[in-house]
Amino acid sequence: MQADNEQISASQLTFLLVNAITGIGVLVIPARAAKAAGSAGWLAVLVTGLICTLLVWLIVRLCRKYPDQTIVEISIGLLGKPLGLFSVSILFLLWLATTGFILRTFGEINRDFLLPRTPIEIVMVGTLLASVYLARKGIEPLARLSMVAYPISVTLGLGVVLLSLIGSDLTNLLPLWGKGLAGIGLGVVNSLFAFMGFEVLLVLMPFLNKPNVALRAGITATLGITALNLLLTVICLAAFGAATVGKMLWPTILVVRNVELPGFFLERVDVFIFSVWLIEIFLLQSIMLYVLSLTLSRIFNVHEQKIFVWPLVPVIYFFSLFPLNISQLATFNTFFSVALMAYVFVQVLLLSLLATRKGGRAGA
Amino acid sequence: MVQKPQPILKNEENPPQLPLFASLSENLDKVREILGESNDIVIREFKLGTVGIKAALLYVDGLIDKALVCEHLLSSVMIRVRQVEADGERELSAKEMLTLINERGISMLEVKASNDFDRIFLAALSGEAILFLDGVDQALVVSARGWEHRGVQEPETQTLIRGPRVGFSETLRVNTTLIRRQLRDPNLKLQTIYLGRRSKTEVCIAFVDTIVNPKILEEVRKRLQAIDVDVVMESGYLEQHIQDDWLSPFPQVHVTERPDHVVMGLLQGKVAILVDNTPFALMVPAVLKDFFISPEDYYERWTIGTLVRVLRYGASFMALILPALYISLVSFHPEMLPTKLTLSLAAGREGVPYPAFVEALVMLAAFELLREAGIRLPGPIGQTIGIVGGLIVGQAAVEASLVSPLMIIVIAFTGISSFAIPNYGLAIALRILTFPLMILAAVFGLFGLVLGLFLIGSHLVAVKSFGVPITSPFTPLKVRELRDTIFRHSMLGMHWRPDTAKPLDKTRMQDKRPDNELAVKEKEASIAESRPRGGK
Amino acid sequence: MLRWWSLLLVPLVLLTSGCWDRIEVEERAYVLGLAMDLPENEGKRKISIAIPVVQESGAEGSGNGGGSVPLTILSSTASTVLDGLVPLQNKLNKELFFGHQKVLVFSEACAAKPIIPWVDFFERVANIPRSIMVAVCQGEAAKALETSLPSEQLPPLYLHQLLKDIAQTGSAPYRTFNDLMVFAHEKRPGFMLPLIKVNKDNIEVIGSAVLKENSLAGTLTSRETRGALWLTGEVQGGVIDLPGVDGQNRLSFLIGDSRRLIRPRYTEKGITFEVKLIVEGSVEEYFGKRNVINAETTAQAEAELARQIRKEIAGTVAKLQKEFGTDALGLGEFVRKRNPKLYRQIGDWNHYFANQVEVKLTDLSVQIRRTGVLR
Repeated sequence: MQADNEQISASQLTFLLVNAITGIGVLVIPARAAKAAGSAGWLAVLVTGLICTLLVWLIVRLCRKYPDQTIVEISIGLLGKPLGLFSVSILFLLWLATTGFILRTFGEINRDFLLPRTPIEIVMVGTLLASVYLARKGIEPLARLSMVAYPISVTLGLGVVLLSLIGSDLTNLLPLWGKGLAGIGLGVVNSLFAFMGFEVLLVLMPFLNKPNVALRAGITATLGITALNLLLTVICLAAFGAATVGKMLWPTILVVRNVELPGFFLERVDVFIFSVWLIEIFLLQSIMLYVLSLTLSRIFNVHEQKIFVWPLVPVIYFFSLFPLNISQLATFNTFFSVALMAYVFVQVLLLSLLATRKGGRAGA
Repeated sequence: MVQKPQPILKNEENPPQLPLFASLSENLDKVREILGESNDIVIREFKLGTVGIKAALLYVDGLIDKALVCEHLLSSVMIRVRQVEADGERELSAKEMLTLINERGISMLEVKASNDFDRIFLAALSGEAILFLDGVDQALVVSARGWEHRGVQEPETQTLIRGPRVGFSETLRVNTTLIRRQLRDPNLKLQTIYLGRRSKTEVCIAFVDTIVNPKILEEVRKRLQAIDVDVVMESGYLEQHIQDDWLSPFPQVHVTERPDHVVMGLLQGKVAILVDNTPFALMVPAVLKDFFISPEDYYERWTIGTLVRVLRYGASFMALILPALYISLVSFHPEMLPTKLTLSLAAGREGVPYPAFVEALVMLAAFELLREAGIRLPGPIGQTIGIVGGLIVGQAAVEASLVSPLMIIVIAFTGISSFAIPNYGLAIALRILTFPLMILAAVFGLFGLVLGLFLIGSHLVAVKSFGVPITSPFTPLKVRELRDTIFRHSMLGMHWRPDTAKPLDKTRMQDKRPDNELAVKEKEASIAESRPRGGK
Repeated sequence: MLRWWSLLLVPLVLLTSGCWDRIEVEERAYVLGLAMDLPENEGKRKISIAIPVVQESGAEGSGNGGGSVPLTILSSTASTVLDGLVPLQNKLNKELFFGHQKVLVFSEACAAKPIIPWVDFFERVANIPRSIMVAVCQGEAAKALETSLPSEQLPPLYLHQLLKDIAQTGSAPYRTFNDLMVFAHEKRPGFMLPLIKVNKDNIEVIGSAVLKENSLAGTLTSRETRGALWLTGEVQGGVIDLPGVDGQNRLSFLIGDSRRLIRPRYTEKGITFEVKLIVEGSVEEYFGKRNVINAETTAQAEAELARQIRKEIAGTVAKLQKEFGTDALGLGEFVRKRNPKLYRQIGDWNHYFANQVEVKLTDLSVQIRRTGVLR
């Protein structure tokens, strides 16, 4: 079947980006922020969000100059073929690694809350296989499903989480500065994990039907994610207090566990909410698979993107098996997310400078 | 050497595949050669005029309206020719006679000329009478159709509480009439093509000219004309050929038996395809939300329409996931159920030897079996089997400790929910998908269920119907149209046509009501006038 | 050719190798409550679990059957909770399942030793709800799991509901496991848990147990507990009884709601917490003959009620400061949140609280809103 026109609108892009970012991060961010910054965790989250918004602006500024090119072509154009390919390959590898680790993280959460005995390999393989189907279909179905899945998941999830505010103590957000500025700084570093994903904009820009709205879409996405993470962090802090939250691995789910919906036919809502969240995870994997395969197709200058999807599956799976245990996984997550953000920052900055120097379009 | 005769009357088609001969006997020989053996093919030979030019009438017994043909064709022709000859006092040549007959002799409605045997045979087999004249290589094709058919009745599969109790019949002309009756717009165009090598079934494409998007119309034509099969028995044959994705369990073409449904679709810019010999008409492009709509939603007020629609969406969701949800909750995540329910459930299942998955599978299969059996059995027996079977089998199964009581409720709800879906194709799709979801839930619990739903969602989102994604207007999001999907907006808000078929004419309504106060005052004034004496 | 078809075998493999997590609902042993007692070997604990015995019900779904459902209490002694579950599981044909656990009870003796390490299990295991109710029991805690009113069916559920409705009488605090864990992680100075006593046919809430940094500091009666609850703002029910003059105009005041506002005042000597308390309620019983509602009697009654409340509060604060040396009122949290530097300087808050903190009730207003349907 011939692929679609491969065009997406601004709102579709927003949702795609949001879905690329939301996934596991939402479940862990209150803990990461609180462990480092104490009761000022929410401040750390806010700062991280602003940093990412800035990054998005940088990215859009660069890509807008080359409306039909992904980062692959832009890099090749500005840095020359060998260097350009090399720099994009690093980005690709970083994406690959983070996708694998996210998959593993998801498998671990799943093991705790849904399927304690099922071998984690099966869960991860199942997730990958489900994502393959959608990733092969092209960007339009991806965008469409993002637009539907996200509002449902977030509305249900957020609705329930907000209910937990009822019994909680907002004074837990004091003292205001928590563990001090150093803590907030560390909190920012740790929170980056929950924000990464928007850099897929680097390869998705060419699909926009109107390139001018890219900035609006990107910023809406990051601000939306910031708001969501902020809200979750505040709620978790209020419900548990910074020390407790810092100790938890998956605070968002645990905070939902506190909620009791009177008269609802389900007693334990956390499992239900997590199940709804599963759709987000699958979607995230699909988007990342798509982005990865797209990048590969551009690197090898092949028109068809879907043939690269299947080969990627075992590679991602390999990465997901890499960490030995959960603490190593957390370290990897933090390290790679920071590395990715930093690398994106450096790469985009460098390319922007080169672009302004070359002045105008550089063909691919 | 027989000279190629000049055509006297205007023909419809251009070069004939199998041209007529000028000689009647040769023509009739040809007819007997090809149509031959059947004894419902009748050739009535007679003579016209004082010269006695030989003529013949060819028709198929049973397909024509005999009275009509006798009165207005045969006798009219015979008499008229006599008359003219008597008036004109000369004999007419064959050519003149043909012209005369065509212009003044036949008091029938539809008359065409043809010099192609293929066309003539098709016409004859469709219920038209063919008039041959010796000495002319053309024949007159006179429409005289009339055969036994089921009258217009309420369709059995789509009944309503409120609305016209009219459904399509098996005759194409009746169906097009029903549409015309509701839509007297001169822009309503009905175009016929013949599909099926041997069946040559008449297929009618209907659309409203200024609304429909020409690209979609073109696509419809293209796909229909690409169909090259022996026979087109029912619209289903066409549906399966023109749909976008043959692997998908979901329908991509809207099928309906109701003319008002078709009219509503036409007004949205859809193209309707009516097929002879079946009361089921097709409409394209079709999106998911169409399968949840019944025209009745619009005949009642908007609150009712909304309520019923929400119910349908809920029902379809339930029909899809309820058994799988039960399996995953009972076998994998009992912590989600309230404690007391869990304990009573455990008590109920204590004696049951099979895991919940097997329970569910067996009961669901039994239910489907009962349903199918109920369809095959005639009338009252069929309905009774459903009730009796359900009650007794269910009750007995519980007492024999083969299933738990909650399972019965789950299956009952699933079944009833699937009945609430207006579109049969969608209902079947959901019923089919229930099974793989159950299997996934049986292996992976809620994770499997959500995985299955995700896969279904991924699939739905990629299916298109004639270029329109089947999930619009939910996504791609068209907020204006959302008014009429799950909810049914009040009549006064429906200004624009839905964008599904990308219609050319976007507006369909103007609110010309006067201001409310004004209307009230006017009414009071008119009441006061009509009661000069006043008072109670 | 062969390859194509073999892909279809994959789902079969999934089904035959076993659905790892499929445990049917009747194949689980639902732990409804868990109790911890102190055995002779004080390094270990005696763990008791309450599991309902599920009987097969008939087609009518009589469910739990009439009367009380048989409950099994199993106990074992071990050095950790997880270790203690092994011998228990060894006796059960069904798999232990904690997803429906409702209560966690410690015996008083058990609470006298540090209890925080012992609750790690309940927090770490993913499936245990954090909303389970926690209580300290006088005497043997395991008894609390099997005692209930004759009309009630499952004792742990009875206890659970009892503890949930505790706010109605204002005699003990409402404490979930989450609260306990927050206390533990935040290393708060003091904490109150409801105290229950097991009688023959019922369980009685008799007050609260005060925990100081991990173990029991002492117990408070229900009146004394209320004194503390006024200050934490948790009183939403309960009765204050005014004897009146010569026992003649005895008046019973039903507390409706209470709100409190605390402001710390920092002085050189220490911290004074100025408390403003507003109590609302209605008179639900009156032995006197006159109408309750005239302005005079109402004002009198309110003043008298205020006196009672002051007495309660003062009594409890004194006890907490002098006898227990524990801040179970959450005052330390106030300082920690608003003035973290000072809090860090102080170091041992409990000691500070006992010596340099004064709780002053600066503003107490009691308002009798209604008098029932009589005057």
